[in-house]
Amino acid sequence: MAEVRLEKVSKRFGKRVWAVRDFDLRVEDREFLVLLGPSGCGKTTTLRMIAGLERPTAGLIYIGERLVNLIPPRDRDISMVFQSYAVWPHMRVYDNIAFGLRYGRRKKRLSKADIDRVVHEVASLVRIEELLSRYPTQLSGGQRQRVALARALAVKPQVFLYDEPLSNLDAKLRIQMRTELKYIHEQAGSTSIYVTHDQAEAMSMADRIMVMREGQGAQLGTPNEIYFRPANQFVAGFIGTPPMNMLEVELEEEDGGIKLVSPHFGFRLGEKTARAVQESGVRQAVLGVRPEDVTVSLEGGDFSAQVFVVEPQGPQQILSFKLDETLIIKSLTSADLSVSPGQEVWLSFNRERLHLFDRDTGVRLN
Amino acid sequence: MSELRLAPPVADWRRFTGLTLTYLAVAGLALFILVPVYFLFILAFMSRAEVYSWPLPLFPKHFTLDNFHFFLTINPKIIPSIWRSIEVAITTILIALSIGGLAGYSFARFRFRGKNALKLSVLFVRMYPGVAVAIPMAVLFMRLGLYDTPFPIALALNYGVGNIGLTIWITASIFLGINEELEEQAMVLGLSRMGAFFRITLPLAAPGLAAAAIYTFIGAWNEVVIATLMTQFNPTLAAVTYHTVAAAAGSLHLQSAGGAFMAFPALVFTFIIKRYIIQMWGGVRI
Amino acid sequence: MPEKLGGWKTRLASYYPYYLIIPAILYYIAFWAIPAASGVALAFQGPKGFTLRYFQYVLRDPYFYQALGYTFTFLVISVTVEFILALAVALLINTNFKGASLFLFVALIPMVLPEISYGAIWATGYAQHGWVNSLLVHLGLMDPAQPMSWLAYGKIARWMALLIVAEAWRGLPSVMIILLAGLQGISKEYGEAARIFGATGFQTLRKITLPLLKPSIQTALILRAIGAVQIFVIITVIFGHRNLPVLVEEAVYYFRELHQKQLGAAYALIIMGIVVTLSVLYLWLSGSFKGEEGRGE
Repeated sequence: MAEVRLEKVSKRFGKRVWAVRDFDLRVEDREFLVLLGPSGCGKTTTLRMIAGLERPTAGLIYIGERLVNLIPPRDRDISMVFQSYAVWPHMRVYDNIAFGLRYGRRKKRLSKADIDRVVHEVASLVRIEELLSRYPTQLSGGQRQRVALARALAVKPQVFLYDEPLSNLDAKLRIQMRTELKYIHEQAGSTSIYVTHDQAEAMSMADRIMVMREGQGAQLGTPNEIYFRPANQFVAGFIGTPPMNMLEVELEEEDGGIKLVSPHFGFRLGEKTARAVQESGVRQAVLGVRPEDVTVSLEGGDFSAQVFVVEPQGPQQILSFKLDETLIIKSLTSADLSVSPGQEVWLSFNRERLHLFDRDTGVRLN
Repeated sequence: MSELRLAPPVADWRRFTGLTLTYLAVAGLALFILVPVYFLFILAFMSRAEVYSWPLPLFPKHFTLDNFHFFLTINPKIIPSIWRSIEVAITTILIALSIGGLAGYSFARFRFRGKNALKLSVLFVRMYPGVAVAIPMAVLFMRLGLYDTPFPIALALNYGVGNIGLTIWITASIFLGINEELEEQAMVLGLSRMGAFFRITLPLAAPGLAAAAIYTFIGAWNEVVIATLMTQFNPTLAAVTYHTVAAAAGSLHLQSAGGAFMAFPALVFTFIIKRYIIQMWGGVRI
Repeated sequence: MPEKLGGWKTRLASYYPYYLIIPAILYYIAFWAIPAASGVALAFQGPKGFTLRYFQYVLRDPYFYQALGYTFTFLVISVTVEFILALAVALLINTNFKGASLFLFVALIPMVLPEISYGAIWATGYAQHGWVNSLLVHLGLMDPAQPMSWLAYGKIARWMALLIVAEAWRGLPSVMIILLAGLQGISKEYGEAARIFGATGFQTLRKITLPLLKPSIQTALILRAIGAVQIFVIITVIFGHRNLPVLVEEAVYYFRELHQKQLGAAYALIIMGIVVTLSVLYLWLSGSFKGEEGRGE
């Protein structure tokens, strides 16, 4: 019932600063969409424009079939969970949750009993029933977070907006809340738009992710698409830890195929990739390889390199190799492989998972 | 013998001297501040005989209100001037909180063109010497026939100028201290900006606003110079006390009673809002 | 695609911040700008138009030079003394100690006490049989048969000293509180880092703490100087009218006692000139003239 649509939305602060520029987005009904990007990319501004807290400088915003540009926040049938939780300190938890039911004017007035029923319902959903009579100052950060959630749920909005709601929680609680948020989203059956800069959060919760950069969309896709087929060098570099290895390479025509050449290695590309490269005509490229796609072997591979640093990560380890003064590539391997710094080993790249980008534009080639 | 031993109890003389110096400084300054206040009050409450004994007793034996009675009846203007002072102070509070509070909210919540220039003007007006406005203002109000009226409206309007600036400062910092997201949340859940202000921000700001009001009261109650310039036959308590005390050199009982009488409200109110005043003076937290 | 939506309604809403400020601006215009401007007019307006005669009169008045001299002597000595003592105290008590909040309340007392109470305290103190002499007798520092006559007429240097002590009582705590607030804004780690790199306590103070404290020092000094220029009530209460003339006293005297409005206005304008110079200096040093800052809407 409620898809959210942004058409060529822009927001300018002051005279020069464009926080968001010509941004298009269509969030399907009941979808969990994550706006992901580094700080200052315009994701929070976008969310606040959807909420009505900021007015777009240009462009149109629809919630459902309604054009909402001129509609104040209270009439947009939305809920929002803020980064600071914004739990009102002068009201008990109960009154916080009941607030939208009492004063909101989009729904018809509920009776006292109905309000009470809804408050208890959502409180039990987020498991804070025993806290209802407390004041927020007596609550922990995690509990306040749940109050904010319950308050958002109580009004049964068409659209949920989340502005980095987990960023103030400690790491353990954050991972637990991810699961709960996703469960709650499924229970509520509303559309959710979720802003975060934490890629792990985005990957684990989103139906689709919109990666943003400098006020514009960099890529929209499912978590798997974003991870395995990044549309450009920015997305490829932003997603994944440790980040993707980027190597400058030349693409040379050879016997009707394409050979990839770098000072350190060279090999022929697979047929499908080669065709895509030939069509693009690009010869100067950047090769992206995720660390887990760099295989380390003692017997043989594409080229040899010296182990530079070993960083154990429990079951896995990150190995760094210094190819020249400025170029370090990393490999994520099983901790079973026992190597030590200075040791000469063989590296090879997983040919199925190579990412080639135009060196000038950063656009994906294959 | 066991190898395990606690560290030997070394005397931490650095920390010790540090703390000693701290307490010496605290005690020294506290005494320097409190001894004069102590004498003002015991003089005011002493019997006349003790006031003029030599040397003055450190701990008076007879407490009496005679000195206050003497002070309050020495001049028939004094009793009415007390009410007038309260009226002026309350009018000033109403002016400062309504006009200054609105502007303070605007400064705290919005970014707009000319904001910095306005902030500067507020500071500038606040620092502008009172005499330089009070004298011409008195002349203007004489022409309007509003000079030295039984209810000294001119005085309240003059106090309004300085206190609006102060209130803008204080309320802006109060509103800045209230996370804007609290208001926005209320707007998302169904209130207008105005509704969010009255239901969320105002209750949260109330203690701070009350403190600002009290601070304004203290300022208006205490003020002498402008009150002297802008009143003649209808003075405020401060103005009439000033003339009484300044003309009573050597009359320790009268001077101390006048000074102590003026001091009571200021001290009581300051005690109530001490936390806020300290914050106002730069957010000291020891 | 419509570029702008909403037209007048949107534009009206974007003036929101100004609506809230307009009352303050109107008030300032009516009760500050107009009187201030008419004050300038008053001081320059003779019976036949523009005149400098009131200023010429002021410049011929021996009291004016006395007032100017006393005001500035007082300003320089008192601000210096208060600053040095307040800095020392602030540095010493910039730690957690028991009773800190009570101490701060005590420090507030002189700042919020009415000027008359403040005057009464020191007038009763400096009287020949007042509490200062009594205290000295009780402490065994004075012979009760020969009490000091602090206020003996014409001993201007002694009066100045008395005035500076009294004013320190009032001003020192406020300077201390400003400096203390500044000190607390300085992360302890800066000093600790300096210690680790081998600086002594004194070097840390001179090279790390004081430079970082500069904004608070400027604020405290200039605010006190502005206060000192306008000293008046305490002087008349302790020493009587025009025995130790200062600028504000002259303004009040001409205006109220002699009903010479124009001369009062001329004095007021001179005080204004000094204070405004100090204020602008303060605003400039504190960086208030630099660009816009604030929160977005």
